This record gives sequence, structure tokens and C-alpha cells, in this order.
Amino acid sequence: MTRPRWRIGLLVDWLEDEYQNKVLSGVDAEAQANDVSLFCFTGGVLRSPFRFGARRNFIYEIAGPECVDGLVIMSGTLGNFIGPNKLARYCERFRPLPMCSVGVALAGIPSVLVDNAKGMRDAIAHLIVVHGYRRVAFIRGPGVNEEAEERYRVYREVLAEHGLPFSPSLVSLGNFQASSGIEAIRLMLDERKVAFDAVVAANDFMALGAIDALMARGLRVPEDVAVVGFDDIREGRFSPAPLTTVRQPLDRQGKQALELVLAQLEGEHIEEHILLHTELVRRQSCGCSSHELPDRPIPDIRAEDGTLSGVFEEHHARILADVTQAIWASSPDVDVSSGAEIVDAFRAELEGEPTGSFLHILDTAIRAAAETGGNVAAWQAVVTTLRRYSLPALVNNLIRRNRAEELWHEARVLIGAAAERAQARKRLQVEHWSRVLRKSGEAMYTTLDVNSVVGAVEDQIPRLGIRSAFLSVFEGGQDKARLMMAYDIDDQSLTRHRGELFDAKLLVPQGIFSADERRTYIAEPLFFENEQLGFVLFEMGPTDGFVYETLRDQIGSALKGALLVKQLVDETSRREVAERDRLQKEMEIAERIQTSILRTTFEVEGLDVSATMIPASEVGGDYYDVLPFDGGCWFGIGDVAGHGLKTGLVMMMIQSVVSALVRTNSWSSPRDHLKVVNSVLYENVRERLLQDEHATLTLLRLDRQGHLVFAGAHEDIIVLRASSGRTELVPTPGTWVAAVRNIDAGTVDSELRLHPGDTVLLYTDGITESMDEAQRQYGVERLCTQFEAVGALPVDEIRDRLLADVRSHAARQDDDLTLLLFRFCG
Amino acid sequence: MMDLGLSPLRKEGFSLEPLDSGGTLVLELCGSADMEIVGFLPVYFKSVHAEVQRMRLAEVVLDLHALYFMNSSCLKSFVTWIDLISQLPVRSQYRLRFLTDPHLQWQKRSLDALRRMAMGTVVIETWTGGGQ
Repeated sequence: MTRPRWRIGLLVDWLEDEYQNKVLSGVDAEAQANDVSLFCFTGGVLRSPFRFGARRNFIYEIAGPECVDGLVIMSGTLGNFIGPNKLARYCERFRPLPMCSVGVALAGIPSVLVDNAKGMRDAIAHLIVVHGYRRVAFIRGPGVNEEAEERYRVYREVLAEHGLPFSPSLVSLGNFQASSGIEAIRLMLDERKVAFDAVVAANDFMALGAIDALMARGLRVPEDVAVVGFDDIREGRFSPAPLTTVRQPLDRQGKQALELVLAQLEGEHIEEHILLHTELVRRQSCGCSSHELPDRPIPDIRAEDGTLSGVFEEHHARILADVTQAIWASSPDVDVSSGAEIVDAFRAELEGEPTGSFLHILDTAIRAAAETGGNVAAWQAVVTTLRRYSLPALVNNLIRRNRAEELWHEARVLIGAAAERAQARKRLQVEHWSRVLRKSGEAMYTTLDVNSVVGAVEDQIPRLGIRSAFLSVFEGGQDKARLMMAYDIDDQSLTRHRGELFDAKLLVPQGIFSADERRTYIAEPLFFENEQLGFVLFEMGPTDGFVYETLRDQIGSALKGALLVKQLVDETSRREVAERDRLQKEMEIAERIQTSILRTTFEVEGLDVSATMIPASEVGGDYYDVLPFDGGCWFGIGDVAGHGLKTGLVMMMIQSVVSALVRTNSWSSPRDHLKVVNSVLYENVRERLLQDEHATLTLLRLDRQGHLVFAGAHEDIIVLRASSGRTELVPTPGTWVAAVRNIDAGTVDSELRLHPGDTVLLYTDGITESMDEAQRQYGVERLCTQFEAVGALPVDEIRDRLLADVRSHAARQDDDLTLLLFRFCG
Repeated sequence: MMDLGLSPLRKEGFSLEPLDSGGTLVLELCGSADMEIVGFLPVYFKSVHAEVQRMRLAEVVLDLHALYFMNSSCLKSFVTWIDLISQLPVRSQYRLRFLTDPHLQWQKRSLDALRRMAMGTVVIETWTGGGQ
């Protein structure tokens, strides 16, 4: 039975710096070589007080037996704020996973360390012995960082060994950031006002910060102050004064760490600690004039016969060792066997072989170095090595010496041009990534929903060379996550997993990662301010970590914005639903008030009266009333324009005012009452409530003799004459109420004489404007026809028959339906 | 020619076309104005009100002869418009001249009420087919 492919996790603070990138590169190379999958969790420095520091730590909580089989821990940076003891305790949570610590020895965990002591000793001794500096300042790293403390300890030892006094005023505490290098110079020069001729920093970033701070004060590096760092990061080569430093074999640390984890998984015996060598890289910041030369004396070797051939034969092993060392130092990933070919080709060409082979082999090797990200310019050391060994044997052979000088010169030009090309290519690559990232940022920041954020990410990541990515958002805490994006350039079917809720510790829902394929993923935490949103996995494409870090920041911000918008929309919808419910309840109340305020049974002397109002779904403004008085009866009918609560309220105002008026002055004219109603309504509606409702309203007063007086504009009155059985349409000249302050001019009383048996029909526009499916109105003509047809029936029955006919016509009820009938009995 | 800063308003079953008829602003309303239109008319008439003041017109003609129906909610927009006119200084007030078809029940019933509401502002005339 074949065991599943191992999955190894790498816990690293971030990937924007070369230090971490190079270790990742080594781990990844070894993962590829051993066919194991790699997951790189970039969760910041543990408990970092700096911006976004500890906020990212939560991604480490996800790394566990559910998603990885072993862990490489970048302790050298991860524990900078908690120290090795607390870091070791922190790592206990990952048991029983096999682990390996890089950079710092952790109790109970195998580790890969570098020989800090030797590297730092070489650097400080170089300053004192070679350059003669006597006042050497030191910028320490974090107090809890073991590596930093060891470098500091060595500093004091070397001073003592060379008889130089230790002065605390020449020491400043730093945090491995460039800013603490700047601060150290300020502290020593401006505050303590101490003089020094060299500065050693516990890492390159602080050394580069110190160079900036010195130059900002007009001091020259190295003429006024020499500076030396530790790590050999790329930025150091391009500093104004190329940085002399101690090279850590960063990628080798990564490789060895992965090997140690795999060995534990395979049950092999392992060494608890592996110590890797460091090397002093001399550039110009220490005062050396040449660059990147091996720190060795010129060899004093000669062949017995004094010839070049003799030198290369007798000392071949030594020459080859130095050339190989020079190649390895500049380009650790290049096959160092090319060193033998270079040495042999150089010798053969000087001895008369056809020209071109040396430069050709050298060119091929340099191209390979450039491909693997090696330091091409440092290949000058290979030429220098060849020259040092050859020169003594060429003193007496002018022709060969000239030939050799030509080869060296051409080789140096070749290396210089290749270095320039490598830099240009790198710059173009970075520019390309920056352009794509800018576009992805623009696309993401202008989106307002999660799907659009996902779409923007999916659009841009293929252009960055990222072949697959998975974005998940936490749901209900950090135990569960929902997959929002499943992108794989080779397998579009993975999108079917979108929306799946899964155990966050699995990184992706089950069934996504194929057992057949080895891949390397960068797991970036997604967060905004203090809120942990989720995480995103990028399949490793670009080797520069800033690409993933930038994408992470963009996605985090865009996602937060989109989630906020979603939250806002959800909240708005929730409020709208609540508001609708509230309004609905108000409507129901208003409808109850409206319908209950209208009478439905009537006892009026000398009259048969029937009325009904069927409200529409939304509160309307139909009004009717029947108000008997001694000697007759008042009728009112009207319709407040519009629908809703306000309309209903205006209708109730009309009912109250009319009711009060006719009770107090039953014999006033309808016109006079209408003028008062208008005045009250106009003031209440327009001036107090600042609303714009108006209403049709006809008030009718009928006396016992059948004398009907009416005023106010509403629908035509329909009178069914008993004598003829035919209807008459009687207009209601006048104007609306609550529209203008004064309606005196437009309001008139009109009169009508009723005879016994005559029936009057009052109605609202809900009746005549009822629409059928073809949008045809019911119409006043049909109402009259139907009225004539049923006019002999009791008024209640007429009411019901008419209403039934209207309903049979209407496709739906859009408005209140009101009918008011009264038959004059005489 | 007037420089009309007004666009037509066209909805399903309804249209409102602003026309320059020899220096007179004519709004030609056609179709049926019901609940689908009710939200648009107040806004439109408000912009007409602003244009009339800008152009210092004395009258706007509303040709309603082909407007077969207008419900009470849409009529309310005329009331609001008339209210706006009434708030202007007297010398700036302008007339609304409605061209109507007396055979249309809603016009007969409602426009007279409108006229009575603002007798100095609203003029009702029967459309004769020959413009205003």
C-alpha cells in the first residue's frame, strides 16, 4: 500500500523580505525534490505590537494535523517578540506533528541553525584587523532573539580579544527593522553624542537603516563610518555603499529543515541540531575597494617547472575547490560541477586550444545562475580566483599573459552584462507584477459585493502566474469557513465546491486537493483592522512574496467592504421588512377605524338607505356618511386622492368635521358647510401636517319634502326616477376640498327635486374606474344600466347586485368601492 | 423657437410630449395616466414650472384631448402644480390652458373642479383639432 503524499507546513511571519523568501525557496525546492506538498502559513510575528503584526497570527491556528503532517517553523523571526522559551511552549500545540525550527534552537524540537558566532567574529575581526577601526558600535536585535543575542555576545568577545574597550554608549537595542537602525544612529550621534568609526548591525535591514541615517547627516560610508550587516539580503548589494555582510545559507536552512521533518516522518534517526556555516561577504561598506572577493590571502603557489600547465596539474584540487566555493557562494542553486569545466576550459584555451570554449562555458553557467536567482555579479570572484592562481605562472610568458588578460577582461565584461540583464529582467518582472497588482487593486476596490471581489481575483491571478487559489470566509467563529472562490486554471469543475461550509482546519473542502499532484500553497490570513475574515490559498507562482502579501491586503480590504455592504443590505432589508410589517399593522388598524367609523345600518324617517364601502388592500380615502336630523337627512360622499395612512386620516377628518357641522347647524347650506370643511382641512393638512392631500366631496341635504340641495365636486349623482324607471346623471359642480385655502368662488349650491320612489345612487370612482383584464373601465353608463335593471328591488339588494356586477367586471380591486343609495319614500 | 429644456416622458400606455407651437409651450398628453405614471408626473410638472419661469411664459397649454383617462392620484399632480403657481408673485403667475374632449367623462368631471379651484389660473377649452 502506498502511503499518501506528505504535506508539510511552513510557519513564517511574512514573505516580503528576502530572508523569509529565501528560506521558503529552499523549503520549496526540497519539497519538490521529495515530492511532498507544501503549505506556507504567513501569520506575522507572534504577538507583534506593530501594525497588522499579531492580527495575522490566527492563520497559525489553522495549521494542524488536519492539513499537514509536519511543520517547519521560522523561529528566527516568528519569536522575535516572545523569545525562544515562549515560542517553544507555543509550538506545543502542534504536537504530535514532527517539527523543525529554523534559526533558533527550541527545546525539544530539532533545529537548523547557522554559525552566528563565526560569521560575526569574522566580520568584526575584519573591521579591526584589516581596516584598523577601533571604535566599533553595535546595533543589537530583539533582546529575546537568541541569534541576535549571540551576535552581540560575540561582538563583546572580539573587542576584548583585540584589546578594545567595551562601551555601552556604543550599543543600541534594535528590532531587526530598518527603522531601528536609523534610530540607533540618532541615539548615538544626536543624543549620546558619541563618536565611532564603524557600525556592526545584527542584521542587514538595521545596517541599511544605519547607512541611510549616516548619509542623511552628511557622513560618508565607508570613508567616515564603516558599516557591516548580517544575512546578505539582496537590498544590501544595491545600497549606496554596497553592504559588507555575513552570508547565511538561507535556502540551505530551508532545505535542511524540510529534510529533518521528512526524516522524522520516515522514522529515521536525526541529529537534534544542524549547524550551517556562514561566510563574510566583503563589499564596499567596510572599506574594501573590490567587491565580493573571497576573504583569503593571494595564494603563493608555483609549479616545479614554473609553467601554467604545471600549476594547474599540481594544484588542480585547490584551484577547483576555490572556484567551486566562489560559484556556490554566489549562486547556491547552480550545479557546482560547472566549476571543473570552467577551470579546464580556461587552462586549455591558454595552452592553445581553439578559442571560445571558456567564455562559452562560463556564459552557460552564468545563465543558469541567473535562472535560479543567483547573484550573477558575484561571479567576478570566479574570474578573480582563476587570475590569482594563474598570474604567477604567466610572469615570464608575455604572449600567454596577454591572452589570459584578454580572457579575464572578456569574462568580466560578460559577467557584468549578464548581471545587468538579470537585474533588468528582475526589474521588468517586478514592474509586470506591480502593474497587474495595481489593476487587481483597482478592480477589487471598486466592487461592492463578494462575488465581484471573487471575480476580480479570478481575473487577475492567472496574469501573476498563480495557477490555482481558494478563498474562504469564516462563518460563526473561526472553526468553520465557507469557500467563496475555487479557482484552478486546469480544473474549472472545482467551482462546484463554491459555497461549501467546511472545517477551517482542512484549508479547503474535502475533495479539492488531488492526491496525484504535488503543489505548494501560500496560506494568507484575510483580515481587516482587528477583524479576522478568513484566509486565501494561492498556489505558489511568483517567487517574490510581496505578490501574495499585496493580494492578501487587497482582498482583505475589498472583502471587508463587500461584507459591510452585504451587511448593510441585509440590515436594510431586515428593517424594510420590519417597517413593512409595522406599516401593515398600522394599515390594518387604520382600515379597522375607517370601516368601523362608517355606518352600515340606517334608520332614517322617510328614507330607505343602504351603503357599503369595500376597502382596497391599501387603505384608501373613500368617505360616506348618513346623518339624519329633525326634518331631513344629510349625506356626504367623497374620496381623498391617493392611498395609505395619510389618506385614511384625512378621510376621518372629513367625517368628524362634517358630522360636527351638520349636528350643530342642520339647516345651513351644503355650500357653507363645505367652505368650513375646506378651511379646516386646508389648515390641518397643508399647514399643520405639511401634506398635500385633497379630496372630492359632495354634501347633500334632503328635507322631508324631497328637496335635495348639494354642493361640492364629486362623481355625478345618479337618480333613478320611479316614474320612468330611467336614470338621470346630475353633475356636481364645485371644487375639491383641502387643495386651496379659499373655495368660495368655485363652490355653489345646486338643487334637485325627488319624488316618492325615486332612488339616488352615490358612488366613488373605485366603482366606475374598475378595470377588467383588457383595461376597460366599468364606466358610469354600465352603472346606470345596471341600476335601472335592479332599481325596483329593496335598496340593500340593489347595493348588493350592483356590487356583484362591478366585481364580476373587475380583474382586481385597486381602489375602495363605495355605494350609497337612498330611496325617497315621501 | 423656444429652447426647451424638457424631454418627452414616455411610459407604456402613456406619453407626454413637450412641443413648441409658435412660441407657446404645449404639453401633449396621450393615453391613460394611472398608477404606473403617478410617480413621474409631479417631478415632470415641477421641471415644467421651472422652465416656464426661466422662459417667462404667460401660459402653458395642456392638450388632453387624447388622454383617455387620468386617475385621482395623477390629478393630484395638477393640484400640486397649481399650488406652485399660486405661490409665485402675481406678475410671474402663468395660466394653464387645458384642451379637452368633453366626451371623456373623467375630463368633464375633474377639470371643471380644477378650474373652480383656481379660476384665474386654469382655463378649460374644448379641443377643436386645430391646435390652440
